[in-house]
Amino acid sequence: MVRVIYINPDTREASIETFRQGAPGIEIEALADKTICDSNEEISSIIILTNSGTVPLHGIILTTGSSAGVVGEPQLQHAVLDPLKVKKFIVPVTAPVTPVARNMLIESRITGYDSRGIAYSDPASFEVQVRPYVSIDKKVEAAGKVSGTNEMETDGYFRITLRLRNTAGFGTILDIRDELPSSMIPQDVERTQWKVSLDAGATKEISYNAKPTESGSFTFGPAVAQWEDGGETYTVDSEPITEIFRVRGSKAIVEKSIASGYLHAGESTEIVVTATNAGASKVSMILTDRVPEGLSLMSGKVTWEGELEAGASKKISYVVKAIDIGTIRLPAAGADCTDEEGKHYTAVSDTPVVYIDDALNADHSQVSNSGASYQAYAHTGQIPGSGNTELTRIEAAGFMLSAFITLFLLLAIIPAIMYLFIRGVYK
Amino acid sequence: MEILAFIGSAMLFATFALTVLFILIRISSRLAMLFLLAVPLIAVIIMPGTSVAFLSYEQFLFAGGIVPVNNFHILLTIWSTLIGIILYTEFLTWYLSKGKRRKAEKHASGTSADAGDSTDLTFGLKQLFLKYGPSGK
Repeated sequence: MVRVIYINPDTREASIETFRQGAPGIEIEALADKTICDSNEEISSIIILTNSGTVPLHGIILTTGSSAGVVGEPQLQHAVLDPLKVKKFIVPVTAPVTPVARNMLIESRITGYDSRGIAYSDPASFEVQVRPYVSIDKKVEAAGKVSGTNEMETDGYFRITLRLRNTAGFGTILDIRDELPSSMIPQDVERTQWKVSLDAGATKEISYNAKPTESGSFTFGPAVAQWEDGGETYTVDSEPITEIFRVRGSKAIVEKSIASGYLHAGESTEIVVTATNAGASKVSMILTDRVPEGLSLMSGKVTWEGELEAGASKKISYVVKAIDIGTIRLPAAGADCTDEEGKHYTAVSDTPVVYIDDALNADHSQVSNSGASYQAYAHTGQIPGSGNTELTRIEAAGFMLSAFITLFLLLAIIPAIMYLFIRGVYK
Repeated sequence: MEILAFIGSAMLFATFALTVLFILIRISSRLAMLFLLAVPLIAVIIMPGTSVAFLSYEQFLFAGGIVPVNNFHILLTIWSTLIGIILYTEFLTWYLSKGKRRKAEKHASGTSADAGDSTDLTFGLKQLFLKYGPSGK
């Protein structure tokens, strides 16, 4: 086939060219109104079809399928789409009911024909993330004596709200667990664990208060919901809370340390007690410690009274001497504190343990000639008097002398035998 | 500090050992033995605190920290070495001097002692000592 392009009446000439049939062009863009949806939620799959060809597209059929969801209208039809025209299809898709987060693939295919009946087809697909059918949201609000953004006094409290939702078409029983920071106590509940029955499509809220027992900066961890489905146990966490809550107030930390936890009877060691004001305000403090039975105080003080600014610390140290053999657990040092508002509280330290050994026997009357003592010295690799201020010079010298004599006698055995033997031979 | 303490201790022990050897060679073995004992002993009596602190200073830990080596152990090692040297020096001196005396007696008498009668083990050993013994060679 040819077609006439131009006719010149003057010259009676006609320009013709070979006639070429055009073709429709299919361009598809597929998307959804949401990229993340809840279980059992209906979303809209939007398919935008553009005919980029030169001839109309006839008998257009849109076929939609999903890997997990339910497609509301799997097949849609449209009569004709002229060149450079756009057609928008909206297909409803219901997300699956899933106990764990998963992706849902939605695939679409457009098929159309030109005037000669030649088929044209093009696919498109996209994914939507589906959340579990149980969800939990956690919200923390500073209440009471709030002194700024996320900042409060120790008299204040935190209002914690847990919002539970079940989007499935059936009910379920949830175990809810919400861990508080270690220094916080729940106020109106005994434990931060609940068992909640949640009907199909239902939403519930759990609210409780948590009170800080000391100052500092706190972050709250996520709440956890646990349930069973088909014999399997599933959990879902709430979104992490990134806010940092600051509780103002005084806070004292008492630490107790001992220079040496292993002593021999009669030996001395130093005990250090450090009180630190880790709070944000000044505190009046009475720091007291006690020397337990089995130890005796040699020097230093075991009490201190004064004021500590925020961030400051006070160290007291004293020297004790080991008296009794055995294991002694040192009592906790305590700090009676009063903050600027007149509030009293107490902080206590750990209780370190001291082992007192009798390897260097305290019975000095036998040190210089006691075989058992020397055995102990050989065992410990030390000589008497190491760190033992009560060992007399005579006892130390006696030990040295006996060690020398022992070595001498041991080394003299062979020469002595040889001497006696030779004397016997040459007699 | 540990290196300095080690160097200081080593120098002290080396001086002590060399002095004992010097006395042993130049003066007398008995005086060397006395010096070997007396110096640490007098140090402990005169300065018990300093001496005990020095002797109990830990220089090394062997066997992964199980076996500590203090200055006292080093002193014991030096003691045993020098006592051994002195004792064996004394013993060899006596042995060699006895051989010289015996040779002199042999020359004087012109005959050997009662050799050849006995056939027991004692006799054999006697013969052995007479043959390879202190002949003064």
